[in-house]
Amino acid sequence: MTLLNPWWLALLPLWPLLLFFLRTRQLRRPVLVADFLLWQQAAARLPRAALQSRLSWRDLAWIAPPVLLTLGLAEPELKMASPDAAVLVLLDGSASMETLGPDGSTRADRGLREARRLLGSTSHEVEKTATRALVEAAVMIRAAGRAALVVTDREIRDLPQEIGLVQVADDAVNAGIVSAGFDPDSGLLVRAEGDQGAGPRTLTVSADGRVLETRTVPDGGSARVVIPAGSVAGAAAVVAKLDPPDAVRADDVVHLEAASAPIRVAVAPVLPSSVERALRAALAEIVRGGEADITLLVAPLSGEGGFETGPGAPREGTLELAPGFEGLAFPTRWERVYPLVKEPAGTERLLEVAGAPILVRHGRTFALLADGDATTFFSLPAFPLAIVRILESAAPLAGKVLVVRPPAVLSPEETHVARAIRPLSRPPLIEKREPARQPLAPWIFGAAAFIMSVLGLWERRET
Amino acid sequence: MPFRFSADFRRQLNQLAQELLRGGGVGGEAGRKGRTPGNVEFRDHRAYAPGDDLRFVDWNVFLRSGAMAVKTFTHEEVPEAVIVLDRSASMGPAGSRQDALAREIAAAFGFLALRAGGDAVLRCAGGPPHPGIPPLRGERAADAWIAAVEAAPDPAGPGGLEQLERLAAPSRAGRVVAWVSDFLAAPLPAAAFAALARSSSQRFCFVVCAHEDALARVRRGDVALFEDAEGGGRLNARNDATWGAAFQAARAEHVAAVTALASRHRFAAVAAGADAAFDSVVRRALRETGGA
Repeated sequence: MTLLNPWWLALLPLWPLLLFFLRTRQLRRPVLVADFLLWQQAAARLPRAALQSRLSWRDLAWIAPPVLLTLGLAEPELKMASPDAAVLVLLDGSASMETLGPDGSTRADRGLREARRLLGSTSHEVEKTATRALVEAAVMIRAAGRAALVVTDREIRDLPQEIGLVQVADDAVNAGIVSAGFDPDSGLLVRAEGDQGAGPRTLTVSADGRVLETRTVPDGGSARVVIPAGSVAGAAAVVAKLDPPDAVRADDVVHLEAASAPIRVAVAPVLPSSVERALRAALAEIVRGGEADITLLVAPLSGEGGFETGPGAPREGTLELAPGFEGLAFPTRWERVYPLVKEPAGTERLLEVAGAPILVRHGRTFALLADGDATTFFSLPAFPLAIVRILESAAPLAGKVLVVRPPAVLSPEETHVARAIRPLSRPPLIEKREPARQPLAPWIFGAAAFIMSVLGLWERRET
Repeated sequence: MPFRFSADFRRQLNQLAQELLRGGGVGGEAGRKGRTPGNVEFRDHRAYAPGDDLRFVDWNVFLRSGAMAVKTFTHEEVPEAVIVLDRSASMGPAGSRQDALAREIAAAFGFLALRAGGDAVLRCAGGPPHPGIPPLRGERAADAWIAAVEAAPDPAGPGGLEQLERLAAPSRAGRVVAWVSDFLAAPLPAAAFAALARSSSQRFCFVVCAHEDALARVRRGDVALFEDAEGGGRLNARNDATWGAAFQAARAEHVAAVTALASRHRFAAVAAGADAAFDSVVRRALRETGGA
């Protein structure tokens, strides 16, 4: 807190003196008392402390307003430090920053250590940023008036000079798995590459602990393993591993887990966009003309899947929902519903309005009998949920796939190990920022006025 | 501004007298027939002399003997009520509740004596010099009596108890003394009590403590310099609960001490606080002595 006019404080000692003067004056003005003898006898009964003069809270309360006014005239200000740290350290979030050095520390550790050395006691915050966004983020932060320091293991040439830069470099070379993926048709594919000098490695692929394939990755070369889908069809977990591990551990092992394949939905060549959006949102795979798990038909129909519909007409009435569709808020009025004139035997009605079917099912075929453009059903939340329910009902029909489990890093860009970059340390330009100033005088004057009002009311009540 | 009783005061006095003097009072029938007030009793006959009141001629004696004889009576001495009104500064300030209540009690007591056919004498103890008024007698003097009490000096100065100690012995039997004071004297005026006891046959003591609350003039929590109205000294008092409680205890102890002293000298003692009404105080005092 600073005072703009501190000389006003010289008045402060006056107020206790004034209080003392007023009290003395008050005591000099005697009150004539008829029953003085009784007061004398009362005084004789009281302890010594009760007879002594002492300051009351009211004295202090009365002295508070002038003291506060004096303080307010001194114009105190509160300097408020910015809640943000002075420097934002942008740490390259790529996997290569986890490359271990000879001392066992990662590049990120070493880079941050150097950053702290550069910044000294300056306050800072560390934020991880994707490699691609490093320069843009640093420039934006700088433009916002805050100092920035980038810590990376890439060579950044176009970084403005006022932005600090720590380039971490070492002699590490890397070999790693650069791709691993499963396709129900092609099978499991794993590919490993090694930089020159990384030495030969062994790539091992095992399923549920059983080794399926072992391949050598030559120094500076690559190796590719393809395992037929049938060999890993029943496996719950597949591990691809590169031995021996090197400085970048993130790409030395990849775990794949068994998961349900997306449900393949066969649709007509012309599909309302709302239906397509809902299918994609539910991660279904839209198949046009190929093999699919289920088929979704949209009216009007003329014999597709054995369904045939008549001319559309509006329908309004009570809704009837099949089990599995309860709780969805469907409209009760439909602008155009195509009545079924022909249907395969055993067709199940999933949704009906006033006795007219809206959604029916026959085996793996679902048919929507409402016009997607003429009804509000397709814009309601109940519609995508209904599509999800359809897909859920087909889940047992979906196949199995192997998916890569995080945090596997399969990007050569991510695991890039720069070898020839020049180590660099450059502090950021830190501009002195004036702390925000909060004048306290209005608050102090307000408090003085409040105390005076309260005391005035109190005095009035007492008299 | 001279003291004046309220407009309703005379009505209250009449009501009090009517209630307390139902039996005709001390003078009885004789008092109302113009004769010397007091209890009368037949003593003897004497020969009629010209100028004698024909109402006292005993016609039975004349019929029996043919001689004119006049009845003579013995008169019981009319009671004399001496009202001692403390006019020291402690009974003030003038016009205060303390002053008014003391005057009301004094006026009421004298008024009752006059209505009973007796004498009423006002003695002011302390205060400025007061020429005094001659004894008043009979109901017709009631207005003069009330005016005399109103004209009593305002409270001022010290107690003047020595005047009481020199109070003369009664000229006749049946003197009643009523002492109206706050008895704020240290030590308590034992000699004055004894002197009044010697000079009276019936004694009343009204301990009037209806003083203004001195702390009411001081803001709560503040200290004030109290000065004795009688010039006895000064002290600092604070308006807080401690002081208030100590004062109440001191006043209760004072009233108890005065009552005890009065009882030793066979005074009927009645205490009157600020909320007391004069008529109830007088009624209580007379009840203690068995009525008027």
